[in-house]
Amino acid sequence: MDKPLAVVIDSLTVQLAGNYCLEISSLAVKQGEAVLLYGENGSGKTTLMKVLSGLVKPDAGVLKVLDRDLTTMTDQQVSQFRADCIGHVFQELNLIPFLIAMQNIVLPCGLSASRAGNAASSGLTPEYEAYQLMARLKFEDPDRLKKDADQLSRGLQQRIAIARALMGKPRLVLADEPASAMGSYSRKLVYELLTTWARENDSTLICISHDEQADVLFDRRINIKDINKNAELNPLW
Amino acid sequence: MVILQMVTKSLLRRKNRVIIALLAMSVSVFFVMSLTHMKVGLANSLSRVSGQADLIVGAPAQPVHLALFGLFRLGNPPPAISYDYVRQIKNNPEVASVIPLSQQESHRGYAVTGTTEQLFDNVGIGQVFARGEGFSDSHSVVLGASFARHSGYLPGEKMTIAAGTEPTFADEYPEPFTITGILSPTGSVLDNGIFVPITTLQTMRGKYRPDEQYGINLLLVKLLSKQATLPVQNQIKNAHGQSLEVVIPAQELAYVHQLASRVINMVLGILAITVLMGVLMVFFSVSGSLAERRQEVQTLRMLGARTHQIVVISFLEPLLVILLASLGGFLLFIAGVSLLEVFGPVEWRAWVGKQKISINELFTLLSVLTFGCLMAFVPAWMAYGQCSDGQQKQKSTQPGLPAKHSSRVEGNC
Repeated sequence: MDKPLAVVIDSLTVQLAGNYCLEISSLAVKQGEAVLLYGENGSGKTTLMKVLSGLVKPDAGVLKVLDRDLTTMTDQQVSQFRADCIGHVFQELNLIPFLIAMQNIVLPCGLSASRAGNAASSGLTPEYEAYQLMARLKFEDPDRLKKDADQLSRGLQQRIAIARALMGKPRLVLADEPASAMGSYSRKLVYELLTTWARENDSTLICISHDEQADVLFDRRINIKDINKNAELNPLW
Repeated sequence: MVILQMVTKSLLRRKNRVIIALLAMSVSVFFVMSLTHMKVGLANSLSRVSGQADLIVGAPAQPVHLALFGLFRLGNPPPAISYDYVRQIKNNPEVASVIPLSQQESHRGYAVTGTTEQLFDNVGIGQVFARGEGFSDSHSVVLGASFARHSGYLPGEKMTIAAGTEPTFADEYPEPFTITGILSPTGSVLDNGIFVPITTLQTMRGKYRPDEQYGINLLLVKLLSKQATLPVQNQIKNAHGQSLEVVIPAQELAYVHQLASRVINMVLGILAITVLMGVLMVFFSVSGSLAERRQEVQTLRMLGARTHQIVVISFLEPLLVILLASLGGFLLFIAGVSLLEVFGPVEWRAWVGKQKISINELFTLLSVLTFGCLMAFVPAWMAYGQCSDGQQKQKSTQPGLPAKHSSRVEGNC
């Protein structure tokens, strides 16, 4: 039996700063599927990720994520949905600088009872789940997890952002160039973790990357140029 | 839980600024509460002692001076007047009692007051004597509670009295007095007093200092009816002309109270401004730079924090500092008042001492807290603005875009 769809987009348009930056006629991603999104700079990959997590509202079209119609939900409902169901690795990382690394990782469990409940249902405390995730990312030194986030290197901060996105087993993981500041070994490690973790938990993964060695790990590759009519409007092209 | 964690860590990150703001506000709260306490204590003290006498009679002097010395022993004793006035004024049918006060002897640097047993009747407390009794003997001496505690004297012990305030051995009267009683604490100037019978004192003065001019410094007059205050004042003035000053202590104390309140209110006004500055310091220290706060709010929003969670975080930070500062100021105030009870000057103990914390001080504290809470709403309101106005306005700076693109902006941060 076919798996249900985690993402459904139909005739979606998004304007930013007066420009049509997304115009997608159709896109569907199945639940548990690992999708690699690639394309040139400014072609709308990050905007699409933000649309999927409800951070950017579309101007028109159908947008269903995990069976929820984001276009009809209020801001509060979208925030709640994002906290409960979506793990997002941002391109700018967006760590809270005054919280220690561990507190940053478990932050989603503090903002969502559902994510905290998911951690507890596995018989783990959020902290223990965080240790496990960090161990899989070869970041096992507990002392470094007690340091403020802004005292760590960019590569370590990226690992923390990845672990934060996976905490509490969200049903959809959006990763925007999650390994851009890492060496080739660490990059491979990150993509392996993300894809393996998504399969283990039947979560959907949509990951932006320009890394060719990651291609084989994903179920599907999508060039943003193929789905976004406005991708080539960027003056860089 | 995560909200508290965010608040405490955020405050710790700005700890230097927060500590300075906390100290500034604690000290301001301390001063405002102390001054309010002083104001209330002064009012209570004045109303408590003004009942001790309806009229005060003494040698011609400033009326306020007579009232302050008669009720608080503040200032120098007024010039002596003849003891005969006691009998003459007592003969007035409207007069209930006349209590003479004579302060021309001392014991080891402490002033000794010659008076009558009636002084203790007007103390106005439940049990007059903590130990012993009043003037049971012609050579009795009664001690105030504070003096007895500090000197260690006990009933039954003997003590000598000397003429003058800075006597030599030669000035000591050869007849010792016996301590017969110790007064219960009254919270008034009586607590620091040494009292002996005026009649015995007059006899000894005549016997051992026949050449010197002695008398009484003033008379505390109680009337049968307060309505007779003005007529009796006029009668005494008319009978004795320029030789006596007759004052109504309630009037003089009201004047003192009015003057003191004016000064205290002025200082309170200045201190209120310092509290305002303290609260503003808290506001600016916890708000941080707007860009810094904006980044935090955006990150929390991206992680799915709801508007109310962000508002609570922004509200709790200044509120926590204001609560801690108010608590610190209150504890400083309690400690300060307790220390002044023990180590403070005599004037403090006489005017403000033994004063319990009243509703006025608590009201002052509550006012500071309320104002602080209102100020704490400002960063919360700003954070709310950032949440509800999630649509970030941007202007396109990219050249060469198609003209069909409108200027409408819908980018959520």
